[in-house]
Amino acid sequence: MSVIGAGHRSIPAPSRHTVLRFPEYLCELVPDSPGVRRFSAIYIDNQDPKKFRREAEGILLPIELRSLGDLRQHLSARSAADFEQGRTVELDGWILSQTEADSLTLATLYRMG
Amino acid sequence: MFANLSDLGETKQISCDLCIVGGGAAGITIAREMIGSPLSVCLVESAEEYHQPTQDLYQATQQSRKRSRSLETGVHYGATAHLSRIRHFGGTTNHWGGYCIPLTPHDLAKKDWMPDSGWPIEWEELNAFYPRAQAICGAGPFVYDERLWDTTSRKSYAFDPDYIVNRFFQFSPPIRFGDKYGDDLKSAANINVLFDANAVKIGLQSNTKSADHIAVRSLKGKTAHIRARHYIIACGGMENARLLLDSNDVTSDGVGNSRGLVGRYFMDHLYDTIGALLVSERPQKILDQYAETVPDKPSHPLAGKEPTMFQPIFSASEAAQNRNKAGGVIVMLRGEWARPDEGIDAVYQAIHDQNREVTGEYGDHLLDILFNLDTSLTEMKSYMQGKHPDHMPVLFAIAEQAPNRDSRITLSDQRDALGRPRAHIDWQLSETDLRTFAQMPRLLAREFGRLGIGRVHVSPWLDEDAIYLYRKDFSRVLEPGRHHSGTTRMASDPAKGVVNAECRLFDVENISIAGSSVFPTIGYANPTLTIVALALRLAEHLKKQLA
Repeated sequence: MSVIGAGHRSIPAPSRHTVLRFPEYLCELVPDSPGVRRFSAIYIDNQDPKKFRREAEGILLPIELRSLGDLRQHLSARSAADFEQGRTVELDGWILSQTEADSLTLATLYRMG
Repeated sequence: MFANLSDLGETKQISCDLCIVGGGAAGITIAREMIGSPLSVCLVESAEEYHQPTQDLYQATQQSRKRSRSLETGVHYGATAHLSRIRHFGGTTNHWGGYCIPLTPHDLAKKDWMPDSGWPIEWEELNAFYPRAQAICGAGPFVYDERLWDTTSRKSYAFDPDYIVNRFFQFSPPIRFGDKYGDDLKSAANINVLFDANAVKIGLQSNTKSADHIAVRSLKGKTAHIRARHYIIACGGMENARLLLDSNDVTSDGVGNSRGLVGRYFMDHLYDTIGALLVSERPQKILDQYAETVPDKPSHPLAGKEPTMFQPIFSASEAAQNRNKAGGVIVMLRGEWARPDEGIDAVYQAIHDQNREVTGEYGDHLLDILFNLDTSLTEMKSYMQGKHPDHMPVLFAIAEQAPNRDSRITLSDQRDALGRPRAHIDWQLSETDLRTFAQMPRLLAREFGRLGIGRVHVSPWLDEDAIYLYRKDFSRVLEPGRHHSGTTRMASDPAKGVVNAECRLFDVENISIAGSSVFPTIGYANPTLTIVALALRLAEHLKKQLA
């Protein structure tokens, strides 16, 4: 399954602080669990993990990230917009926003190093 | 007056202006409309009260097909044919659930992507009779829109009307038409109700253009002929076709069947679970919001002196149906499997406890729940194996079946106690019906997701990857609504229907059909309200014609 919409990030670019803290916050938000790993495996399918990671970060990184709450709010807003614009994926019967699927999978990739 | 055929002595012939065959919602409604008119009316009905040997006349056979191993869970339609409809005075209103909802203009419209759709009458013509039908059915004010929210303290969600719209059921107590309106007919000077009189044959005149009589017979063998200027067949969606097809001694294909359409286009509503909802707040909140309720604002003009129960439901918008080339479908939430002390409800509670100050808004914590799906994976596994979850509201759908020429009622090789061929059911569905169901979890997922209400899990039988398994015969997994319809469909062109826009047979000038068998399409609405509205319309027409 591909990450649709990659490369459509608007400028300005995220701050250095945001880029550094984003993986930490995302891993804190997304639990390390068999369910998340299962969803991630289905979603990434046989794509190149590096390419997926690069494209997903391009989509998900907020401009400014001060706290975990910021990230939760950012992803919630993005999810709502995904649903409105039809950017959904079906994983194991669940209809999720692309943002949710990207987040689950990206967190799993971060943990894998 | 009420009488029994067996009490009529040597009488072999009864004459009247109008003979109505069948004392259900349609037949009783038409007979009541004739009270006080100059017309003499004879309504024939099998039994006054429930009588098992009479009820058994409704047993039917079903077309057998090779089954796929994955589709063993479906209903055996023929096995329930004698249970789903009731053969005594009052007809199937003797066990209906009281669900009232009108058809919409979209339901009656011709859709290019739905072959054989389109009613030959405008919706306004039907709508003119709905308010009276509503009163006869014993429901509240004829209002089925968002104004009903205002009679309660509940609030609607702000759905995008291009995707999901709220519709509403109103509930009759429910009215049992025989009990409620029997005395009206009994005391009417121009109405005779004849029980123990099973219509067994329509006798045509030799020119085949008009009916000469209806032959009736009791289970004990007493027979008589009813001769009338006009006849109304109002026996129900299966029996109307059966009686026409079995009246084949003058015309070999039966009465009204010169085009071979009687019994075809047999439709029913389709019931099934289409998924479950993982809610961002406690599930009970949305369950309460979309549960059956009565107005709790007694001063509201729509509440009435005796508030009528109603229930909000989710429906696929007309625009969505058009985009998806699919029929109408509604969804009710069911929470009967919810167990508040277990499963993911514990997660809801924990989040609620930790974030007490902000739990009033939808969606704030959805990600927490979503990212903790592990909590429910054991249940999800069970669910995917066909078991219901015990912690998520279930999305239960009622869908329209599209007209299908190959879905039909014919005559069986087996015979009933009166020597008549039983009805033989060959219920067939189509790709359109599958699309009708499949659209709904996706539409709900979009809107529930956009509004932060929750996330949808699609039932395995509608999952994108599994759907191919069901393409050939997915009727096996569905529960029919037992709203038998379409077998004497209404049309403007004799080549496309059995009755004309006035519900009169194209082939026979003095026989009309009443009931859901004339519906060219059925929408998702329970049929009783529309059956009664069409009966009122037919009565008005015949009063003028026969005057």
